[in-house]
Amino acid sequence: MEKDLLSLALKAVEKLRGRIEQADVFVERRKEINIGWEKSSLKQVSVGYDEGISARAFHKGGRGFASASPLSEENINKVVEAAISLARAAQPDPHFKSLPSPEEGRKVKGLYDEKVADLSPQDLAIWGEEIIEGAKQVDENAIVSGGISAYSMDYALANTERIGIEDRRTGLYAYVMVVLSKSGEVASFFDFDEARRLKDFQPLDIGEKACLQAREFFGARQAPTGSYPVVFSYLGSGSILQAVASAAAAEEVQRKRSYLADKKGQKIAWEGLSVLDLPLIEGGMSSSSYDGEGVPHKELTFIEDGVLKTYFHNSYTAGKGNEENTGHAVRGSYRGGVGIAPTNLQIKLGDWTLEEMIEDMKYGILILSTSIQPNPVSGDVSGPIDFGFMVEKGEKTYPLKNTMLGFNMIELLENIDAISRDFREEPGVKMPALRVKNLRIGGGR
Amino acid sequence: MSFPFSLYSIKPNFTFVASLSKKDYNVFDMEELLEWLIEEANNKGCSFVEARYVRKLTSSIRVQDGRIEELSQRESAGIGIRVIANGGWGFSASASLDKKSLSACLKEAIASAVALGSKAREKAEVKEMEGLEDRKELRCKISPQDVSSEDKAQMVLEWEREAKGVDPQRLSNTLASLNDVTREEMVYNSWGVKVESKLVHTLANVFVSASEGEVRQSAFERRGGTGGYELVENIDPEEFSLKAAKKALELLSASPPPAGTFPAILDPEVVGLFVHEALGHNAEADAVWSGHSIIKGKKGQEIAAPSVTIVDDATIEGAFGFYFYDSEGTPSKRNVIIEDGILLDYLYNLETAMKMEAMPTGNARAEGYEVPPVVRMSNTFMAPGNWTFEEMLAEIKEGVYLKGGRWGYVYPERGQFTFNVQEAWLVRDGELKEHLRDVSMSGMTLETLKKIKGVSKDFKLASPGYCGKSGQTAFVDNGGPYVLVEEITVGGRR
Repeated sequence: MEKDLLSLALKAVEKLRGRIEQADVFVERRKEINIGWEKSSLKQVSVGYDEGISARAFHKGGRGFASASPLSEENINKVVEAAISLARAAQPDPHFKSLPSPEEGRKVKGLYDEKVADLSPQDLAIWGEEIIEGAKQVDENAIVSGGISAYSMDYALANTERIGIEDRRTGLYAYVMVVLSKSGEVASFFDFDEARRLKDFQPLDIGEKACLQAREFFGARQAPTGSYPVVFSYLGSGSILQAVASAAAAEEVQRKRSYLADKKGQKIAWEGLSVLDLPLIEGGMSSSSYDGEGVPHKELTFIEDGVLKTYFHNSYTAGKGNEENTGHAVRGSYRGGVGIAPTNLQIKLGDWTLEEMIEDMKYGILILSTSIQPNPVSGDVSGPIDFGFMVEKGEKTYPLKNTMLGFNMIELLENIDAISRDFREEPGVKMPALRVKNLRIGGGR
Repeated sequence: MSFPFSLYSIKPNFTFVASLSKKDYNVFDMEELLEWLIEEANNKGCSFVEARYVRKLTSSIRVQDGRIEELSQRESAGIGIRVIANGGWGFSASASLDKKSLSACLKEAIASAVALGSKAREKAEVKEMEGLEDRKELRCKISPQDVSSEDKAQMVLEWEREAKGVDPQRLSNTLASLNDVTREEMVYNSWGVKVESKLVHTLANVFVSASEGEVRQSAFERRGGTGGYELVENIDPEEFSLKAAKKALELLSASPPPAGTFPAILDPEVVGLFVHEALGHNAEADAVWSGHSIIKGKKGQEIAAPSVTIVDDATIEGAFGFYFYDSEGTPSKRNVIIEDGILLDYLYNLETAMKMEAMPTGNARAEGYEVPPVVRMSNTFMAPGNWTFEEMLAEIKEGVYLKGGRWGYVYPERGQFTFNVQEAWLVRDGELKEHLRDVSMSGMTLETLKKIKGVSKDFKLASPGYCGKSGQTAFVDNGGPYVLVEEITVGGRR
């Protein structure tokens, strides 16, 4: 099979051209190394090679999708034929306007690093040992689990409108969970690091940091039921931002499945909240020159002074809504279809520090990390505080367990009253802390 | 209150065949290739080798707002090779099925194992199994491949139309889909295991959103199992599309929940989520061995109320988590985790069985060829008891009734679980008083298991779904009876 992925994609598009109105083809080749450790010992190394092709074909707007692996002449023909026949079986969709046409995008640096592509399982194993050792130095009885992944991928995208692009990227991700036991009680915490380039990857102290934090979770108690001011620390605020951004995907909005439907141009948050979407940051985890359909990326204001400025579009939703295509189509791999997602979301930093927010709190709650999963349709959240503390007179008094949050996303956004100037940084994103005036907490009687 | 399903009434109509036709399966080349890989690895000094071929064919149809929106088809095949060498594990996978690519793949797996073995504090080892040769296939009454895309699409269109027809004005979005996955797996290993199995999973979904003024709500229904088109061709709309639509509309006038700790009745779906998330993940032996389980060291101890029996059973024919052999070639089994409140045993793969001096329970599952097997659940449920739903209601002065699971997760090492439910009711003086929406509950696994006061006679195992662990997805089913719990914490807005 030919090595040049763009030639393969263009060849497949030529097989589709003339037999169907429009089509696009995605071709991918990928190598991934994973190492895992459990019970503080390196456990398994896996090395995987994957390659495949997918095609989307459009017949009067109706869509057919097919994918297959590995890359072979037979599979390319199979995918082409299947996409055509499936598109013909779908129903016409007048909302489909067109796939995008070629436009020159800005080259983003730092998304591929030869040094990452050349890493061996042994390299990852050495880091893994250091991460475990870091935790063990804090507490020799720490139970450490986690893993590191490194991948490199080459891909090409072509469509019947003459888009033909190819690119490559690398990625590194390390995750650790530390469990401590004392007198039959268990405390735990986690940490992670991620990067596209080796020089941005600093995973060696995550075991130590997770272990130090885990130690603070002994003696966890349920908070009394009531209403409290709540500070979301860096990871907690990241979870809020993701929850808001996923509701701004135009597909969800147009289908009336989002609590942000009909809110564009309206105030949805505290006037001190502004959020940018920055896809062109060098080395950013969600950076790229083009989106998943080949539309050039550009910077965008998502929320400005509390006002929702835009939804996130791909070519279909932009055509359907007669709006500008914001270039937010995403493809996970050749196996999946095309979705919508934001890129690097950046909250405009505020004046406080996290420390000052805690010191300023008479009786409230600090959330280090929690999973905010709103009902996407209503925006209502009823969920647990995964890792948090009770704060009294400016000091953390006890860690929380079995304590729940209940609020509506808009209510939370409107009730933010402070943003920190300090932050946690991962490539492409700086995550500050947020303070919310008042949230309902479900705990003990 | 009674249920249309019982544990054994959900069996679809299909028959097993003792062996697969080699012509159907096209296995001659693959058998030879897998045997060659085992021999190569043995010759290179591996103490254990497993070569696994998986081929998956997936088709799906999605209808939204009155239109067949997308039809899709996905096909993948490849081999994953797992070895133990120098006391370390190595795994490598390839979609290219020629000897040159596979030889490179094996070399990489061995090199990884050797490198890891010299660093690992604990040496890799697996329970030695007896050699076994077998082929099993779940023979569908109507194979998904024998039904045209057009016929499938018409059926899905009909589901969507039925739902929308309930209230076209207030139902702002209606979505119906049908997915079928045909999965063939061949597991060969150095103990002489040569097993092949073929399964079909079919799943129908309907998801409905309703809106009125500023209030928006959603609901869904799901039907499916192991089997073919026969599982979905005659779904009763009252129990599927119409039910989801009516539920979403009713939720428009429901209230947000109160915050606090309450006695609660959990319906069979929520009990299914509880046994899977809160207990099941803690019973997976890799979590136990690695110190991440709250039930580590509690075998033989009473960890739940005496009325509680919890089972993981991969042999329930037709259930979504059914399989013949796991991805290590161990036959599937019925495994009792808790019996009458006593923790009997955990769920094992070959490695944890060896390390923990137990027998493999057939719970090693891999999503595809590209990932190694990990310890997973299958069909997990609480066994029925003696109570009725009405008797449970009568016990509650002020509490909640939680119905229909939406999502859940657990931190096994701390024993804290969380579930979100589709709908709930406030219970006062033994009566369902106020309909509640967007309710999540949280609790501590061991405390909650002890606080189970009643277990109902009525039982349902019909929550086909997907469980995520270690980056992999597994087909699972959950269920149980109604359960009365003395207290559970609810996240509310008032």
